Parts: sequence; structure tokens; C-alpha cells
Amino acid sequence: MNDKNNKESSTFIPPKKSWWERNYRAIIYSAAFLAVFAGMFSDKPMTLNVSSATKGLYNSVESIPEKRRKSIIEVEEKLKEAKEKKDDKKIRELSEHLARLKLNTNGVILICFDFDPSTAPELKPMAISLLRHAFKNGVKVLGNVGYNVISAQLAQNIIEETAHESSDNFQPQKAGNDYVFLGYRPNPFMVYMQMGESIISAYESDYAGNDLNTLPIMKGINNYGDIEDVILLSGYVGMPEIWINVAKTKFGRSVGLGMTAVSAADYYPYIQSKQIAGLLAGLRGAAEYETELKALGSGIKGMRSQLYAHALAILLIIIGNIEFFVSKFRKRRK
Amino acid sequence: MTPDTFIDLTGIWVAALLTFCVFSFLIKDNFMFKLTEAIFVGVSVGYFIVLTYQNGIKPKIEKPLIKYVHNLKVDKSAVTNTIVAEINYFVSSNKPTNDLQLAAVEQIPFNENGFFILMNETLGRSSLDLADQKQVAMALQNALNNSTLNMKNIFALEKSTEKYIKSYKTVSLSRNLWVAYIIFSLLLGLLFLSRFSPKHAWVSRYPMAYLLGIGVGMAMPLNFQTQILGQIQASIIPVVHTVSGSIDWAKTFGNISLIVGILSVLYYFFFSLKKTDPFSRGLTKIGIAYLMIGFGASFAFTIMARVSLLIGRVEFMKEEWIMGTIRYFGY
Repeated sequence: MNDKNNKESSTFIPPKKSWWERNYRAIIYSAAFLAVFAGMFSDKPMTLNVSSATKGLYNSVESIPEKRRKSIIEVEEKLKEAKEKKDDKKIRELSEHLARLKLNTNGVILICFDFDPSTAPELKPMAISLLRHAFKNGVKVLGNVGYNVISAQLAQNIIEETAHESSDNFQPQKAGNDYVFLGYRPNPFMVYMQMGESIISAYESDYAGNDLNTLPIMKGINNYGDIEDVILLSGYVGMPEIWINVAKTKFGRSVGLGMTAVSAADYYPYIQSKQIAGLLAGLRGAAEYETELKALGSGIKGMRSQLYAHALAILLIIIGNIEFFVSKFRKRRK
Repeated sequence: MTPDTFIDLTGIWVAALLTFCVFSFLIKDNFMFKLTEAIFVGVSVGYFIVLTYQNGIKPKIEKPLIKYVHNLKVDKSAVTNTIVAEINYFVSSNKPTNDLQLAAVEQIPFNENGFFILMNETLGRSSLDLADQKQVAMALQNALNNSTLNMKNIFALEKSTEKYIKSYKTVSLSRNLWVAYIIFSLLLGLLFLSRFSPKHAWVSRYPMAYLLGIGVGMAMPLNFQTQILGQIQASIIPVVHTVSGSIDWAKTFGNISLIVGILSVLYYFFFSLKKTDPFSRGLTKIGIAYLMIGFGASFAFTIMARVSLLIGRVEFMKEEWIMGTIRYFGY
């Protein structure tokens, strides 16, 4: 029986494929490549409607200095109350907190760079825009990596390049004074929890190996209480939940997200529940942030290529549908 | 971006060629694609191991243990001399200029406990090399100058310093416990390696249980609060949204659609009931429609993401490879 089957299969001759059937994949891929490539040479100005999710994140970062001023007033009032009650322990804690808050009057932002080269085309433009925005407003930047150690060098390069770029909006920033990159430590959830107690004890040294106790920026930062916003740029599903759990639910910090387009849809419910301040979704989110910041970057440039690629996709869908109905019509006639 | 050196340029060319090798899969599976795949996996694993050692094992285990052993051998009197010298310097630079102020200073309350904690924290840091007197002096200076403790009462400060020096040990009890904890953690982590032996693989359940126990214990309440309570709270909304007395129709429509969506999708996933009556079937169909809209949005986002990755690669080829090479050779 088996021999018979083998004989049958060996004599099977596949139907002859037409030229189109043999080459359609190569043609479609080449067309997609050309569409993207053509988009890069276009300098047509693009106007993007900025979504409320992007606006939410932009406004949250923009208002960091204001949030810091409010925090200082709040702590001052608590200190006054503690002094009236003569609660020595609280007085010491609050005066230490106040001293730290006053060291960075424009506030502090923590950006978690959880992306690797495979998701960098979408998330790198977001990282650059957020860093530019923070540096422009004099906000001190803490950077870290939570999930994948491979992201660390990529993140370090992005921070260094952005901090030292020549810009009309801000002077070149100094490592250890205006920003610090903490790098990676294993087991993100435990590290984030420990950061709520002390960031210095969680990391001990920065990515370059400098003792955090010796860095001027760390004199004003002890834990989440000294940070206004926590922003996660992630290509990994599951990481935002950890940040929302720890930074927002446990320590009451404002959390913002920048996600790859693939995973962005999962996190819109957190905007509605006000558990995140805003969300940047893929390259489009990055381009919207650049529009809001009025600083052209690779997000907007990339959206031109997206436009051409999407136009091609729509055209192919239309052609596919026409072909489907035509062949159906032909079959019926036969 | 212009490559600065010939090595940078070579790196860009290698990246460009590997990109072509990967894209060659679109035509047909071939040797170059497989080679690139193997290079990617090998380099990633090698890089991962080195970075994990540099960022995890080295700062968290190796460095503290080496420093601990090193500090055990440090001469106690050398450290106490530095402490006295630094306190004397601090006192002399903060001493009031006249006798009247000096008398007033004596009345200022001094937090001795806080001072001891400050000294212990400064000298007990795992990163501090007690044999390096310059480093110790710098750490003490920083700690004294930046402390929020009120240390204007220099007489009490001097007295407390004497007391502190008498009880000072180069390695404190808390440091001993900390080192014991590091060794325990290291041993527990090593138990994972028992999985290589099928006979002893069960031992790896201990560190696994420890990790899961702590992880679940800490994450469960937070997860419940964020993903269940938070989301339920956000779903309890008024059907009709009013702004200064008049109905906001757009928001009201949004709220109704949210409520209908939640109920219908939940009902669709309720498999314990036979959905034969028209109402059930209708509600299920609405649930399916909501799900399809969600999947459609996700799929559209996926296409956008994949095109973004292609854009990233094409941008690299244009800007760094072609233009970078042209610029490097000065054209």
C-alpha cells in the first residue's frame, strides 16, 4: 500500500505556475521597499492630528517643573505641621525630603529604555523627543533599563547623543549633573520595588561604574518621592504592568508609556482609567510627540514613508478585491 | 551620521551586508540567511552573558564580597585618625567667630543617634575602600556637608565623635549580615544549575519556590489593585454625561458604547449558558463585533509596526550606509 502511495507521489506533477504566481511575492516586497524609500526623499510638510493620548503624555512632561513647585509647597506645609506637633522623626524625614526637592527645582523624570535594536525604529524617536523635552525644561533625567540587558548600550548611546547635540533649546548636558544612566540590574520588579526605598542602594553605581553617592545629581534623588514622572518606552508586553503596579499604584507617581504599535492597543484602557498620563503608540506616537514639541525628528520623517507604504497597502487591497470579484464573475459565467 | 573611523565604516558595511542576507529570505531560504541567523543568535547570547555578569554579578556579588574581605584587613586606627581629622576640619570651619555665639551654640540640640547612623552609613558603604584614606576623607566630607542634621553644636559633635570612635569597627554587624545574605543568595542561585543533572534537578525547586513566593506575594495585591479594581472603577461611569447642565452627546455615546461593549464581550465569554434565545444571540453578536473591532485595530497597528521596522532598516541603508560611506570619503 505504502509503495503504491510512494509511486503515486513520485509521479505527481505540480500544476505549472504562471509568471505572476512565481514572482508576485518579490514584486510586492520590492514595491513596499520602493514605497518606503520614496517616502524618504519626500520633503512635503506633514500635518498630524495629535491624539489625546500623546497630548496627555506631553502635558505631563511639560508640567514637571510645576509639579515640583507644588511638591515643595506641600512638603513645606507638612513640615510646618510636624514642627507644631514636635514630631522629631517626621521633622527629620521631611526636612531631608525638602532639601532634596530644592536641589532640583525643575523636577526629575525617570525614563526606562526597554527596547532593543529590533524595536528601536519605533521607540528611539520617542526616546530622543522625551529627552529633548526634559533637557529643554531643565528637568533632570534618570535613565534605566528593566527587562533586557542588551538594551543598555543602546540607551546609553541615545542619552549621550541627545545630551550633547547642538540645539537652540538647551545647552549640552553634563553626565552626573543633569542626567545619569543607571543601566540594568536583574529582576526588574524587585529593583523597582527597592527603588521606592532607595535608588542608590538598588543600583549602587551607574552604567559607567561611577559610585552613585559621588554624583551631584543623586544628592537630590533618593526614591520615587523625588521623581515627578516615570516613563517607560517598551517593546515588551508585561513591562508596563510592572511600572504601573509599582510606580503608580504603590508609590503614586505619574506614569507614561511609549509602546511599539503592536502592543499599544493593549494599554489604551489604562488611559481611560487614568492609571497612565498618556501613551505614544508606535512611530505615529513618536511623530505626534515631535509635532507637539515642534522639533522635527525621525518620527515625522518615518511617517512620510508610512504614508507611501499605507497607500500601497490600500492599493493592493483594492486590486486583490477586484481580482476576487472578477474571478468569481468569470467562474459564474463558465 | 558620518563614520568617524575606518572601523566604524567597516561595522556599517558589515551591518548592511547582514541586512541584505536577512532580506534574501524573501526570495528563498538560503545559506547566507542561515549564516546570519546563527551569527545573530551567537552574538546575542555571548553579549547577554557578558553584560549580565557586568551589570548583575559584578556589582551585586563580586564587588561587595571583595570589598568586605579587603576591609576586614584594614587597620582600624588609620580609619579613626581620618575620622578625627575630618571632624576637626568640619568643626574648625563651622566654629562661630565670637564667644557670645559660641555660648549660644552649646544650647542647640544635637541628634547623636542621627549622627551615628550617618557615620555608619557613610563608612559602611560597600563601594568604599577603607584602606584609601583620601576616599574615606572625601566620603566623610560629603556626608557632613550635605547632611540635613543640625550639627551647629560643635561641642556635642566632638563628644559624640569620641563615643563613636570607641565603638567603631571596620566591619560592622550589619555589614556581616549583609555579606551573609549575599552568600546565601549566591548559593540559592547556584542551585538552579542542578537542573543539568536529572537526578538532582529537584533541588532547583527551592530557589524557584523562593522567587515565585516573593514575586507572587509582592505582585498579587498590586496586580489586583491595578488590573481589577482600577479597571472596574473606571467602568463605573454615568451613562449620561453633562457639562454645565447640558448633555454632552459625544461623551454620552462613548459611555453607552463602553457599557454595552463590556457587558456584551463578557457575556460572549460566558460559556456555561446555552445562548439559544434571540436576546442572548443578539448580545453575543454585539460582543463578537466589539472583539472584531479590537482585533482589527490590533492588526492595523501590527502592520504599522512592521512597516516602521522596514523604515528603520531602509533609513539605516540610506543615511548610514550609502550617505555615510560617501561622506567618509569626503564627497
